[in-house]
Amino acid sequence: MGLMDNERVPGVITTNLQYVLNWSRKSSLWYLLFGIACCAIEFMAAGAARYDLDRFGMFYRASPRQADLMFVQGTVNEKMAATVKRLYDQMAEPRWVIAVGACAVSGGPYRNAYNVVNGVDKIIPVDVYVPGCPPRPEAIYYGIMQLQEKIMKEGLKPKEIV
Amino acid sequence: MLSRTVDARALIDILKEVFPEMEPTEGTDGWVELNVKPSELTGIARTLRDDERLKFNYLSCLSGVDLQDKGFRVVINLLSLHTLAKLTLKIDLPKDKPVLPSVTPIWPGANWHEREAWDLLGIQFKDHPDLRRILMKQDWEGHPLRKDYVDKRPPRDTVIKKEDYLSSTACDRTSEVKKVG
Repeated sequence: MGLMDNERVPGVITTNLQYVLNWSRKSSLWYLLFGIACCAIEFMAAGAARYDLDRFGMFYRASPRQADLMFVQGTVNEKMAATVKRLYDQMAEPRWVIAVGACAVSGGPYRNAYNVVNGVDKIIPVDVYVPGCPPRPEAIYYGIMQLQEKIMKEGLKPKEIV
Repeated sequence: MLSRTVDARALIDILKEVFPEMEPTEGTDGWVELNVKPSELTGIARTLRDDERLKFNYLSCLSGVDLQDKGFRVVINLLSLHTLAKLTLKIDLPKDKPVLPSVTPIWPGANWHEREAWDLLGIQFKDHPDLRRILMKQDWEGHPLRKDYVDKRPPRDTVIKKEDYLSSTACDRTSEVKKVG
């Protein structure tokens, strides 16, 4: 339903709770300050001045307790896998994960090498996969916007804990 | 802006004065190369760092090389921040016992470089304050970057499902399980 449908009383918006909740969640995704390897550099470019992440309402939080989005960018070692899982467990619901780069999606150029986990979805559930080696900032933005569309479609019931 | 006051030829002359029995040669890109035996490494390193004319106080890099039949080699790249002179030390090691003294007491920046050489190549450094694995997990067996390393883990299954393919040509395959070593 349109937000500005109410013409009888100006300045009053009628909508439903699901819409407002999802809109507020997608418009202020605070992501965890976490980058493993080269894709993190590309992400830093995406967050810098030319492609600005702040206009999406996205801001980094250093603590997973305060973050609701985790970008996993870079190759996940078997040694790092324990840390990634621990950080994901520390995030509070609602939480989402975007796997950025070929290494996080499926192991990438290091697939089946020693000490490499073939994709971070072997450890944590992933919502959006952004392929690329590294993906351009525009590709990362496309992934973020896909996640925003996914959030808009969510229901009011909390997701089951996986 | 500090400019290089000691170039390769001048450095070779200074090294011949300080170490009469060594034979420094000029390598590529202005680096002077010096072959060192493992037993003399500590003495030479300390002199390189403390001597007034040399003053090599910055260790750029310490790398290990696996030369297969010829053994192992440790290459140390040094830089003098006073004169901007560049020096490379090469230490050849036997294949069955790659042990050499650590230069971490002299240049503390070598700490993690030596840990990496130990972890991935199995080159042991005596008197290293904390020689343990840096990239692999602590209970990993083997040194992965050796040329004769074989990954002994069980092969991982790669399941290719029909619905994962988007193109029509690949739809001929039904579910097939491919073992990847």
